[in-house]
Amino acid sequence: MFHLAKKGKNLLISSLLLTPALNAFAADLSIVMTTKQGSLLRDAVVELTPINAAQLNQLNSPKLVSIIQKDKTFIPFVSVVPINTPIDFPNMDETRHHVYSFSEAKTFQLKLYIGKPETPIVFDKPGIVALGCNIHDFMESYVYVAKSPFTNNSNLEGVIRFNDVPKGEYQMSFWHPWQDSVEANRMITITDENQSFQQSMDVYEEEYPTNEGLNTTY
Amino acid sequence: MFKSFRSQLIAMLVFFLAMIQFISGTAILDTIKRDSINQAVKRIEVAKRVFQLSIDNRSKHLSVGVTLLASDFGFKTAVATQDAATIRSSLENNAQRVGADFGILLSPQGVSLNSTYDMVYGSDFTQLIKNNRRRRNINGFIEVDHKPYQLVLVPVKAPNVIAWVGMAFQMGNELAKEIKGITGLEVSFSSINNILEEEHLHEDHITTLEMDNIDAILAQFVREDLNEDLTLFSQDNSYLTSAVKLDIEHQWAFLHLPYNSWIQNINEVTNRLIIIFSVILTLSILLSWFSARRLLKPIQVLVSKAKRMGRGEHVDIQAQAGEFGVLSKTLSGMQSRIEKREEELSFQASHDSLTGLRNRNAVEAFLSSHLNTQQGGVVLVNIRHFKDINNMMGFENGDILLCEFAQRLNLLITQDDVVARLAGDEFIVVFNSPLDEMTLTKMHHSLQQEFDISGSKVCLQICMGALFFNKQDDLTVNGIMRRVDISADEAKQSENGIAIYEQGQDESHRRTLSIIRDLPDSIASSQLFIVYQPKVNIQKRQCKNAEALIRWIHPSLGFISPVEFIPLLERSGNIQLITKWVIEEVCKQQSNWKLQDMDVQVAINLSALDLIDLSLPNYIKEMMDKYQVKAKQLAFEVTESSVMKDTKTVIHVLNALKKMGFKLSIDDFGTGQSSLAYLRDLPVDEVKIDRSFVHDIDVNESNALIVRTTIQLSHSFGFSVTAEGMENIEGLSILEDYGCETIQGYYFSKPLKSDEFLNWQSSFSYSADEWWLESSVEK
Repeated sequence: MFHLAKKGKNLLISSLLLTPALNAFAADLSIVMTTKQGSLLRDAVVELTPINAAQLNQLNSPKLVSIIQKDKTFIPFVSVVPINTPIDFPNMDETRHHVYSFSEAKTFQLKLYIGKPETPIVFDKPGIVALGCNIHDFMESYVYVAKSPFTNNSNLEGVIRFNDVPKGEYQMSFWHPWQDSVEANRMITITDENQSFQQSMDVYEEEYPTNEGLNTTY
Repeated sequence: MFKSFRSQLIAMLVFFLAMIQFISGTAILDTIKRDSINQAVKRIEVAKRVFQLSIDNRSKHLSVGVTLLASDFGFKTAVATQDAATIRSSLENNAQRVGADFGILLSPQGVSLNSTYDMVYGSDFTQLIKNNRRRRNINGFIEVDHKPYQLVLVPVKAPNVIAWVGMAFQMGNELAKEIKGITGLEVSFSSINNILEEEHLHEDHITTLEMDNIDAILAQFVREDLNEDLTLFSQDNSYLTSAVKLDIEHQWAFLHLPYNSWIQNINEVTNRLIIIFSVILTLSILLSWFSARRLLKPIQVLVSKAKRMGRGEHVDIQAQAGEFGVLSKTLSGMQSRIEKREEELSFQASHDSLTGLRNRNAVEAFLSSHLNTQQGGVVLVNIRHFKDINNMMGFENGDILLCEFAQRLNLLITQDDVVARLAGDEFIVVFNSPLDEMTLTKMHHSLQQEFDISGSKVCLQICMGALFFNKQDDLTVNGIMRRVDISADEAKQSENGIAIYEQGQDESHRRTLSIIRDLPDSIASSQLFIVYQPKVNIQKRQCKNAEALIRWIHPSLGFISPVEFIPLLERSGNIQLITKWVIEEVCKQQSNWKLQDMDVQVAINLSALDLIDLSLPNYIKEMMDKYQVKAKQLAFEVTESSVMKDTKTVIHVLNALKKMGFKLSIDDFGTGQSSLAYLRDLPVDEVKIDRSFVHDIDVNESNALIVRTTIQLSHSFGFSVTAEGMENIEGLSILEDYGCETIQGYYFSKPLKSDEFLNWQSSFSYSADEWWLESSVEK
């Protein structure tokens, strides 16, 4: 929780910094993610892709992001990063880990290391990267490499906030690691006014991967 | 068959025993059967659990192997990089290691990606995956090429599920044998579709049984609507089969418990029970046979004795104990009483109760056994007028007299002779000792001696009819009795009271009997007819009268004279029948004659019995009306003796006839003892002088005198006179001289039939005077 909060704070700060400079005509958007059964859904990712591609302002150099391994668990479970974000995998455990990915967006292996690997790995293609540990099968983490800067994942309360989204039309796409079926994309028009709505997703209920198999804090 | 008490007793015992045995045997067998079925069902339940367990074990075993493969990083790499050759070889390798029939790799959605067995591409695994969404191991069943497989699927995670890897065992012979090895039950796997056709069945079965058996059993299951709880006996009861549903549609496992040995057990028990029961039954039959014999022996003894008693034998009956003692005592008492009564009865049957002499039956029996003797005879003894003695002295004294008489009779005979009482005053003596007239006379004499009855002397008048055996041919008991009866009748008439039967008497007696018997029929069969004798008025020399006389030609006896049969009929009481017949015949004849212009008065004879019949005048009237006959055409003649019997009634009837206008005559006058003076009061018109006085009037002077006097006297009373039986012309002239009015006799004519009479009368009326000429005699 601590880490998530910290991460959320970082994102918040970065977006606060960005918005006034970019566009004077913008509004806030909040989405409450739920399952089809109606319970709040965390770690659901929403990506807003502007119809007008010109609106995509690429950041020059994305910041380094860490996915740490602690207590044989990847933290965070879901990371949303822009393209070309370098990610390093600090190992906080006593044991070694062997982080790998067979995902198309990024295939790599960090064979048996302790501490921090020498170089972070740059996620240079958009897509979803599933991370596993060859030594600990139950360890699992996902990296959502987004094209759009307006991409975020839901917090513990299932809420996603986008601040100062410039006016215009956007395609909204949804993803969740446990989704049963792909939720259809939606169109949304951002105006001057702040908006909020609820979005449900078809996911199966799964326990979060931990060392013991069950983490009661989630 | 079961008539005797013993066999009924035994049959009942055996029946009850057999019933008890049958019921208990059925109950025992039923319990055993049910128990064995329960046990069999239990065993099959256990086998089902074992079956499930071994399936589970296999899947665990598979799981371990497949999980190892799925978590192998090299394998994962191969899957992620879609290196088909590597994947296939690694599947093969792994399948071999765990002993699986095939290995398979599926996409996360369940699409077959790779397999060591090509047939799997025909099967759909998506459903299996869908039903087990979680990313965990899946234990399930899949049908490949119509065969059931047990399948373990394990997700290949990297770390998300990038594929499913699976290993499968066929549910086939090996498994079946393995389970059979553990449970001892036969196992079948089969794909059953409810609408499956018979011929498709074979290929889809895997079984440790004979194929023929399984077909029948499966057909049965299909019929019974297959479900998981269904447990059935095969049709020949050799297997008890239970169905286990596999998790694939139409795929079933069947566990067959061989039931033959159980049935064999039951049959053995049944046989043993039958043997035991039949031994018991046989023993009990024998036992009850013997005990019934012992129990019933006294009764059988009594029964056989009673049978002998029934045959009239005298039986000694030993006293017995208990209920049978009472019975035997009763029986012996009964026997003695019956014997006593029999004696009494036989004495009574053969003896007269009053005098103690034998009775008719006894004497007839005695007679029949002594018929062939040449000496001796039978004597019938009658006490005359015994009724009067009874009236005079009273019945008690009469009985005493009879007893005394019997005693005296007894004294008169020898030991060889037998005396018996036939009726009230009739006794019979059968002499075996020589019998002659002297003996009879002596006997008669001593019986006529006086008796002393209560102080008064009584003399009996005895008549005795006798029959000597030596003078008889054709001796029968009946014949003897009849003949001696005839001679007894004779004795009543004889002077000395003794008559001895003479040959021929019996025959005349029989003739009399047949006359009396046949007369009523003779009228119907017209053996009787009427003849008419002319009555000639000699003063007027004309014939206007006739007497109707009856004639009888008997078919076997020939002509029978009225003199013979009329008295017999009078005695037997049949004479009225004849009189009435004569009256009707005469009336009929008169009506005929009237047609022929014939005028004649016909006289009809009435007997004494007719004269006391008060209905006679009415009958005559009836006939006259019927044939339209007038009173002057009829006349009636009555005999002198008949008038004298019941004078009052006779005179009454005669007056009635007189009133009706008939001429009445006194017939046969002179034969009775009455005097003319007596006749004076009778309402008659004519006197007929009997032929005994008339027929010799020309030669017998005393008769002529009687005739003349009678004529004169009759005339003086106002009667006319008819002379009967005048036979010659001399008589005619004498009677003419005496003043006799009418003559009836052979001189003029014998009685004639109606036609002849008609002729005679007409010829007489033409030539009446010729009868008074001497020469006419030759006519």
